[in-house]
Amino acid sequence: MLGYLLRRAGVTLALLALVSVIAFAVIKLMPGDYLTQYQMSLPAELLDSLREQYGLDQPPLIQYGRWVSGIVTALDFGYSFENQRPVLEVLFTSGDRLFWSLILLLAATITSFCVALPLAIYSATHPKGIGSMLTNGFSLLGISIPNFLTALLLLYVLVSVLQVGQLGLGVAGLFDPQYVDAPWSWEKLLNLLWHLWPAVLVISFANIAVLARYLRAQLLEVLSQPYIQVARSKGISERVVLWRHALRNALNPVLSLMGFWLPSMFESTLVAAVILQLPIVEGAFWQALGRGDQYVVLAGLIFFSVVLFVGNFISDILLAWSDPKIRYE
Amino acid sequence: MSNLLGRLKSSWLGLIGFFVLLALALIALLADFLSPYPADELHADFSSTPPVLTQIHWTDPETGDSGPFLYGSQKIRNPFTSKVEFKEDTSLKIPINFWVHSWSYKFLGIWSSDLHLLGTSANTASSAGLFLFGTDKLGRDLFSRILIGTRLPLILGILVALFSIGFGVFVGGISGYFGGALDLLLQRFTEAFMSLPRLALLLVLTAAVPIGWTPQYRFWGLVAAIALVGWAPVARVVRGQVLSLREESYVAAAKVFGASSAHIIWKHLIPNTMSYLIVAATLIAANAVVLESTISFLGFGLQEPNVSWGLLLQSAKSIPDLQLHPWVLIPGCFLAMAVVGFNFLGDALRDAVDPRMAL
Amino acid sequence: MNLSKYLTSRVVVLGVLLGALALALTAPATTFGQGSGAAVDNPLVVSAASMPDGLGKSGGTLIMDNISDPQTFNPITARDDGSDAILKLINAGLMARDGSVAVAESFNIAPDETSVTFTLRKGIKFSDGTPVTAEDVRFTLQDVIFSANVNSSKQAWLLNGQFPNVQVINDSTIKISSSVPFPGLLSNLADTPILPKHLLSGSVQSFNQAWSIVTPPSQIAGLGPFVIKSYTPGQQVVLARNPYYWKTDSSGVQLPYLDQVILPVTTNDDVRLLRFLNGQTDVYPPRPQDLQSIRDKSADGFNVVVQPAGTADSNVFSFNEDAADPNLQKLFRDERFRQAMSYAADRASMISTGLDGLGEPRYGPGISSEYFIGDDADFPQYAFDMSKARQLLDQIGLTDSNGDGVREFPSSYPQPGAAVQFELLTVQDSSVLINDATIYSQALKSLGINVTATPVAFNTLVTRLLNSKTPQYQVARITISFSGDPDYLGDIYAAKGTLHFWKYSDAQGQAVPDWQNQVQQLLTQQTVESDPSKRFDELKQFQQVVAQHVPLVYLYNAQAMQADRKDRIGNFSGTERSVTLLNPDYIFHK
Repeated sequence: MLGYLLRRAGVTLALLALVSVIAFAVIKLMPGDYLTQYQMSLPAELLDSLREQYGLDQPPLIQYGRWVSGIVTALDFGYSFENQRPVLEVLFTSGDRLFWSLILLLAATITSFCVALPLAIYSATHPKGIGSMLTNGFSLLGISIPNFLTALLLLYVLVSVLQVGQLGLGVAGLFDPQYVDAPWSWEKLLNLLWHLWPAVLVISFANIAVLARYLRAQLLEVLSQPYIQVARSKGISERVVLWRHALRNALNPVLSLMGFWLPSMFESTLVAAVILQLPIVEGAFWQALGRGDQYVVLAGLIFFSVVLFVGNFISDILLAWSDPKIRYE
Repeated sequence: MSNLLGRLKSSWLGLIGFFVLLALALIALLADFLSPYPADELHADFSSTPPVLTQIHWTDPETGDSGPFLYGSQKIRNPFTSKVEFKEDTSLKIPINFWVHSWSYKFLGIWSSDLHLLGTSANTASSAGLFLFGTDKLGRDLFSRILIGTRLPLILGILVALFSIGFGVFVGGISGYFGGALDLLLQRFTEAFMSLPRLALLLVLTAAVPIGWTPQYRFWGLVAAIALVGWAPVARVVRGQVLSLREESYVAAAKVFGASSAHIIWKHLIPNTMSYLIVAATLIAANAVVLESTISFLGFGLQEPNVSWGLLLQSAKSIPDLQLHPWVLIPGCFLAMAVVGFNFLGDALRDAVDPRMAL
Repeated sequence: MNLSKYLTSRVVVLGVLLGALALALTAPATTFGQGSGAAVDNPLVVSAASMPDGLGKSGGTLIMDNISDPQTFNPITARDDGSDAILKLINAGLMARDGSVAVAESFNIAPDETSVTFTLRKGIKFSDGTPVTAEDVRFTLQDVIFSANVNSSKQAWLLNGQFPNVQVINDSTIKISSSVPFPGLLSNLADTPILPKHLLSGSVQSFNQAWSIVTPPSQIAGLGPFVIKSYTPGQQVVLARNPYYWKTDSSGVQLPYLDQVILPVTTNDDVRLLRFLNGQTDVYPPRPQDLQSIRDKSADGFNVVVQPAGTADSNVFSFNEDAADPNLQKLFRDERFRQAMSYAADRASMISTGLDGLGEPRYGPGISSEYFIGDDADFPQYAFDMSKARQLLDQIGLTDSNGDGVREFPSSYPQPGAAVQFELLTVQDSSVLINDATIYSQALKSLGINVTATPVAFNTLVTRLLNSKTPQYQVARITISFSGDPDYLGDIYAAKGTLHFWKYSDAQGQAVPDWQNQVQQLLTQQTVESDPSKRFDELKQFQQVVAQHVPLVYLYNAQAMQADRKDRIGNFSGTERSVTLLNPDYIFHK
């Protein structure tokens, strides 16, 4: 196991290196070069020190080397010329962007599971009912319709049909102004939840369909397995069969879902961040893209890849640990 | 292949998908004929007009004549909100005509024509317009724009599928056939591409497009970028299939007879992966349409004067606009239809080929 | 140069900035009063009559969205609206915008008009409690603004190429003198915040980096009604009242009325509207398309004021006369072509679709201010007329020789036979600019000119327009916002001006057209002109020449709008350029 882990980590690191090269090459395609672009707007001394630090007047290979060594030695992801601050701050730490990104990811994941699981169980155990057909139709549509369109439809329903705007739909930011600097309290938590729910709804809505469809397929397969038949023939109640035997076995493969779960989450989170103005990593990445703030874009690309790698890595380990059939040599 | 189609017939979802796509393809082909207005024609007096689809009258209450007509509309700029409001003017009747000769276009880029399915006579243009789905802020007819906007997404979907498959087959075929160090290298390369965050990479790639590019260049750039993020899974599957196929006896026989590697890959191995490739192409096209609309919606993809559904949906990005002009969401229905069509067809094809196929 | 002062991506801005006033015209408008409990011995008293809703009450918080994160807290080097909105609230100058006194208690103009002596308000202190002295004023001008090391706005201070002389007479008296009368002096001082020497003297060498957004608020002090309390990047800036502020109301209550101003960072226009409608903010500068949603809620206290057109903004299409393409360069330098381009601009459609009718067409740099008469009937107007545009294009020799619907360049051009086409830059997410560009390219297409309209990020546009020797664009749709002070016109209209982004200057040794020299001469002349009526005539002539030769295709002036919650806020009289509160000191919370 340890050997497998080490080898797996090694491959991941190698991949990461390759990804960083690809990302850097792509970024270098972006128009504009810092030195001329910011000639007028940034003080000369600052530009000189940045030129020195990142080798901006050097060939791309040296620039890449400087950038990588900055990350490795000092966690320095580069400089945001637009914000005149280090990338690390712009993308992650300022306003706790990273923290809120992860909170949203977690909240949306939990919400998706909580909705998708009952849906999947229902449609797997009642394969012939009208409800099952509706569930299937819903998940097929949910998979097909692009995330941004789902988000738009949802917002339209929230704002225009249900008129939640009248109550103060929590758009822009995660708190009302008076709570941003306030110490934590029940009111602050409630305020956070009030701001969080439209975002969580938008992010998880599209993913519920994906998850429900996948879970249902897994459940159907497990339910047709011989050991389930045996359990049923022994007279064990259908509930116990479902919860004890079927679900546990069906959830295993779900762990391997992380690989496509995270990118799908990223897509809807980005759309939510753009439309709802959320102060999260995706939002900062989006702004940087529009302004051509290259180091921020680069760091964002690397960050999202790392999240993916870590997600895959964890799901592999969980799989290895939970499924005795899988052996890693 | 015929077997595949035969089995497809038994899947009604697949058939729905097929016919939806067929309908959209026909719309794309006949868009000019079906559109009452040129897609880029401005009607500044009809800025943000609501859809008139619901205001079509079928019988005249006075004369009892039948036949669809609209009432003229009076534009009133509300002095308080400064918005133009449209009021039906029942004294003016504007018949909707079929087989109208109005603006000219070139069918398939070759034959000139000015025949259109629907239209109103030109001298009533100032009092009402046949804006079935309403207009955008510049007063452009949304119905006509949606129809024309069918073309680019469909063409793009097909092109991306072709390019992704082509490149995937190339890399996967070489990788699987030759094996060894080359295989290892190509595999890592493929894996790196698969592990990149797709949308983020695509956004960066499209943001990197030089400002001076014309809309045509941008279109091809977008095709290339979407294909670039989509070829890797194809390469992986093709590699696996080629890897197992090359052990087959007929490949060994071909080798003995001195067939070149290219010949073996092209004539013996690839045809055997064909059914997989057809399925993959359908699903890649669906994905490409989704990605194109997402990127265009976010403002990094196609650009005016090009028209695509995602681009049309851009005006729904602003929540207040969405509230005041909900009809800007109509292009979304067409987008959803296209993607659902591709997905249904792809799913059905996959079930017909091999339900356990990993994609 | 403070670029953002001139180029804005928004179209709706408030045009209540007053231009510079000549020395001879200004009279101190101070009312003297005994302030009870005032922080200053001799506070400036704001009369109840000058407040729209009368005297207010102290306390409360005002919430107003800030359009972006501030880039700096340094009022001298700030060049973005996100910083400006905050810095204008925490700083003040010797004089006020309307030519009345502010931090100065009084001033005295020497008979020969070459020097002015200012007396500081007695007992006046910075927001950290340190007394303000004449040395602080000298420091601000001589050590900071006039310093070559500092990225400051210097052009308006140069008189015949020289900075004025600043002389400390005693702790509270300072004399500013120049070789010739300096008509722009008082208005320049209104735009110049007085800096605390005791906090900044250590960083004169690296002044550009001083007072960055990471500087602790306790180390930042100013003379404005508020001080920075906290800043959470990406979320909000909180300002608290300046306890040492130098104004009271006529009943002696210390100003500002508000305890706090909270400025949440909200970069998206639509979200700002939504937040205002949801009651999360108290004031909002609406765009034309927002009017309907806000007025629908007028029963709930939502109030919109539409001001007549006449903002200091110029909405223009700019043709780069130094374009890299030799054909286009020659074409854009041809006055007839620019006139044709003005004929092709359907201003009425732009106003009715993009601005919902809330604007007025413009054909020249007409700006309502003391010295500007707007578009005069005598001025040439190349108003929308496609047939005249077509005529002019034919006259230039641009004809469609191969019948493809696009005109080609004639043989007199460097690359004859090439199709006439160019790229038109606009700003991403600015629906109004994109609107205009679409209407325009449509019209040009029917004239046989191919236009590719490309939206780019605002900063990219600014970079392409300004940040290199020759501007890197072909055609751009931009908004030049302008303070109304004629002294700054030279930056834009003089061939060597830093903001002369359509260049064709004598920089490359090419002779510029006569009218360009005339513009330059008129602008230099008026800066030193102390006779107001002569100055008026010179500026009128300037406008006439510009309207005639169309260096820019002028489109329209947008009507400015302000919205606030009448049920919550009193004495709100608008914002400057949609960004900064105009009267932060006596707005109050009901």
